[in-house]
Amino acid sequence: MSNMDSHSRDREPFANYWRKAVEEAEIAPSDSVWSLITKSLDILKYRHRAQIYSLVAAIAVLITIIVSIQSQWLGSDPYSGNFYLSQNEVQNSLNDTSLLIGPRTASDRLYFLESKEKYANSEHPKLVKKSSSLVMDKKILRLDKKEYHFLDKNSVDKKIITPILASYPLLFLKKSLIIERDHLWAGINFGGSSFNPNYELINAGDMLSAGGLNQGFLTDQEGRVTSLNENMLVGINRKIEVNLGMTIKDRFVLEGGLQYVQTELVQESNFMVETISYPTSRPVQNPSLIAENTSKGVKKMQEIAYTNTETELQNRIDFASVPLRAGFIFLDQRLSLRVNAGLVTNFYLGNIHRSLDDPTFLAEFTTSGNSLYRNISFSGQTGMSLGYRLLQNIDVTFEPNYTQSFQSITRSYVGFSSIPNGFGVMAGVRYNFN
Amino acid sequence: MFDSDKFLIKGCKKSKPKAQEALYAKYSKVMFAVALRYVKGIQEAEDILQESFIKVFENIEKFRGDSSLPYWIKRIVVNTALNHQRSKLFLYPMVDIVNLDNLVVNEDVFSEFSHQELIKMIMSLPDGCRIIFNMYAIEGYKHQEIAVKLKISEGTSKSQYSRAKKLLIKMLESKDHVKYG
Repeated sequence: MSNMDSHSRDREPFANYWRKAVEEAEIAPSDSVWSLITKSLDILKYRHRAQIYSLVAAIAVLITIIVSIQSQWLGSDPYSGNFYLSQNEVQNSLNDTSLLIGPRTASDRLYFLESKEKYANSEHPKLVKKSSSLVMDKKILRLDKKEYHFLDKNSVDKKIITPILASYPLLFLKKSLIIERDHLWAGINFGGSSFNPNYELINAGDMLSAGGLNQGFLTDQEGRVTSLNENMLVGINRKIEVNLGMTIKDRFVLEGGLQYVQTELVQESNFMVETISYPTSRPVQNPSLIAENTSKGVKKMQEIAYTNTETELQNRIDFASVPLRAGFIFLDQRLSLRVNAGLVTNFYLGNIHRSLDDPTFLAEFTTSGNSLYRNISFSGQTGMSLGYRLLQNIDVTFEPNYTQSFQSITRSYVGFSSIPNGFGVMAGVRYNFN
Repeated sequence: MFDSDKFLIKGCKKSKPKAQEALYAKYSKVMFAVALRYVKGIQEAEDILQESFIKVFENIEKFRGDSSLPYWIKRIVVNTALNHQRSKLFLYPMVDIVNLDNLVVNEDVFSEFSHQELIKMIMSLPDGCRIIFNMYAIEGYKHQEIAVKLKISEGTSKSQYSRAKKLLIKMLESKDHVKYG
């Protein structure tokens, strides 16, 4: 094909006549083709976003594991950042072989140093290379000075401190060395996740029989019978969360919060509910309930009509969620790592159907008796929280997670279930109160 | 300016709906004619067109401008059509290779037919020889290339082409072809 012109010269005239005759032909396809392309692109958009969330979550987990392994077992640079010496600990351990130094606050996170020898008027090459500083008794010792002194009033001066691995595995730390002091924080996170609805049509008959329709089939106003075709496609969640947490029992933490979750997904259906004055669409619903509850859930409905046109709708579902998580701290230094698991209670706020072609609302539902979705549902969440101490009290956090619903988010009578799950990531800041 | 290929590509790379729609408007008619040549029915051609343009928008990032945009899109359409038709290729028995030199047609005959009518003739060919006729006569592949691409023998390609040629000449001569649509 790439050498088409040279091929043309070699080929017989008949082939060339045909090529000339039809190669520039133009025939218009029907309008429905473009409409179907745009719908497919919309579906792909959600699928891509969901894949991106999963990919980012997987990469984050991988990075977190690598960083924690490296930091825990291979060591890290003990000189990075400022060191704050605990005067008491220095005093207590000057004559020991080890010296306890806690960064940021004397009793907060731990570094272990080993004091070996005393030098007079000398320098230690390792220390000279670093530009870190030691703070002791509110005075800063520049480690890159050739000669330095510990301004400890008791006895210590001109002392060389040789660091051992700063990231001595806390996992195996003796309990006595961990300073038991509760730690309290508040945070705000933004993020999202994939929304894999795990949609299943469980009992179309129940769903439709109340409306006088044949079980499993739809009958439109012209008497045509069509089998029900209903599906939820992959979507995404957008989340914003505020949370409050505290350490309990050494390295165990509890964290609770409040989330606003906006789920957006594409829904396929061949069951349309329409009204004369205000067309609205619901994928699967007990039709009689729609008629009875028009004043509650669906505004402006005046007359109900059914069609069974294949259609794709954008469905936005809003939830307020309350996550409650327990966690275990693996790493608690400038870089912190925590593994979390917990329960999320989801409160359904409402949902909106839009046509993929037209952004105006087709229908808006709020929490009420005729809603398709349960007012309260529960899901489990597990994840990691990776934090980096940016300022003295402020961490930036990155949290990959996986959420699995424990039950269908839809009501039992609607005839289909959706037990969603998905990978997600949250990023934000955390303020440490102490 | 706004419908230049460069502008459209830039917009499509940013997934801008207007650029996507403009690109579709510009090339859908040509590409639909291409798709029609490979199939028997309009619905199937529309399916191929839809699938092809989704691939175009999904893969526009990979378009580096080594070839022209319409050529790149056409390649996608042809490959999509071939994938749709691949299962039909081996359903047809070999036919004897006829002496192509004996089958002669005057170029002026083609002017008597509209594009739609000619395409309708191609669409009416049996599946196997329709695909090979398209690839050889219109897309410019050699029989050897067709054999590799479709995993058939070169002889099969030649025989299917000769069969298509025979049928098309018959159609051109009879002039009682069915109008498109």
